[in-house]
Amino acid sequence: MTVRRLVTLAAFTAIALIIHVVEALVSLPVPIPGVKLGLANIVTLFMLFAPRGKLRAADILAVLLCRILLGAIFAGNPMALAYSLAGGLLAIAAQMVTRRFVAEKQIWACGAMGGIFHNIGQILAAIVITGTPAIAVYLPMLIIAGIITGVFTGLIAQLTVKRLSKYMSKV
Amino acid sequence: MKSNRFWIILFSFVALVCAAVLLAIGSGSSSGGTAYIYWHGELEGIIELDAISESRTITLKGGNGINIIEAERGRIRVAEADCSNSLCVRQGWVSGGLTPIVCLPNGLVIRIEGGSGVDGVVG
Repeated sequence: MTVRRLVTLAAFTAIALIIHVVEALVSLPVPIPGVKLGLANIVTLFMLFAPRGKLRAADILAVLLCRILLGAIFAGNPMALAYSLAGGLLAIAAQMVTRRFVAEKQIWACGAMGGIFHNIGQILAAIVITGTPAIAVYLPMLIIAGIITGVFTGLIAQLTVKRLSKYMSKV
Repeated sequence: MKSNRFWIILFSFVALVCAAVLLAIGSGSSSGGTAYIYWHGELEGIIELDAISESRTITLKGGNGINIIEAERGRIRVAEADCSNSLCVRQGWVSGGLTPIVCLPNGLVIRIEGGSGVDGVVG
C-alpha cells in the first residue's frame, strides 16, 4: 500500500466517522426502531462511483469496517457493533453489485438498494440476537424507510460525485 | 438498467408490496391475549392480559440497562427505559396485533399472541 493510498483511505474513514458520530446525536422523529438516514453511506457511495477503477473493493470495505468499528467505540455501545456490521456489510455487498449495472446518474438507485439491504441486515441481526423471529414484521416498514432514506443519501452522493470527483487525485 | 425509469418502477413496486403487507398486518390486529416477555432471548414472563384485574409493573434489569413494563387489563407497555432512544416507551400501550414491542439496546421483546380478534367471536 502506497502512502498516497493510505492517506486517501484514512481521510475517507475520518469523513465517514464524523458523519456517523454527528448523525447518532440526531434522532429522526419516526416511531420505528432503527430508522436513520445513514448519511455515512454517502462516503461509501462516493468511493464506489467517483474514482471509477482507482479504488478497489477491498479499499472501500476497509474504510467501511474501520468506520463501523470506530463508530461503535465512540458510541460506547458494543451492541451497536453487531447491528452496524450486519447492516453495513449487506448494504455494501448490494451496492457493489448494483454499481455494475448503473451509471453516474443512478447513484440514487444504488443508495436506495443500500438502504433496503442495510435495514434487512439489521432485522436479521435483531432476529438472531434476540431469538425472536416475530421482529420480521418490521421488515416491510423498514424496507420502505430504507428506500426513502437511501434515495435521499444517494442523491446527496450523486451531487457530491458530480461536483467533487474531478478534484479526486489519483491513488 | 441505466435509466432512472427502471429504478423508479422497481422501487415503487417494492414499496407498494410492503405497504400492502403492512395493511394486511394492521387489519389482523386483535386485543387482549397473552404477552410473552423476552429478555435477551429468554422467556422472562408470561402475562394473561385479559386476566389482570389491576395494573402491575415488572422491572427487568440486565447488563445493558433497565426496562420497567406496565401491564393493565387487555394491554401492556414499556413505562420506563434507560435505552438511548426510548422508542419502546414511545410505542405506548399495545393490546394485540402482530407488531411486538422491541427495545433493541436492552434486548427486550414483548410479543402478544391470541386475543379477541375474529377468532374470539362466538355466536
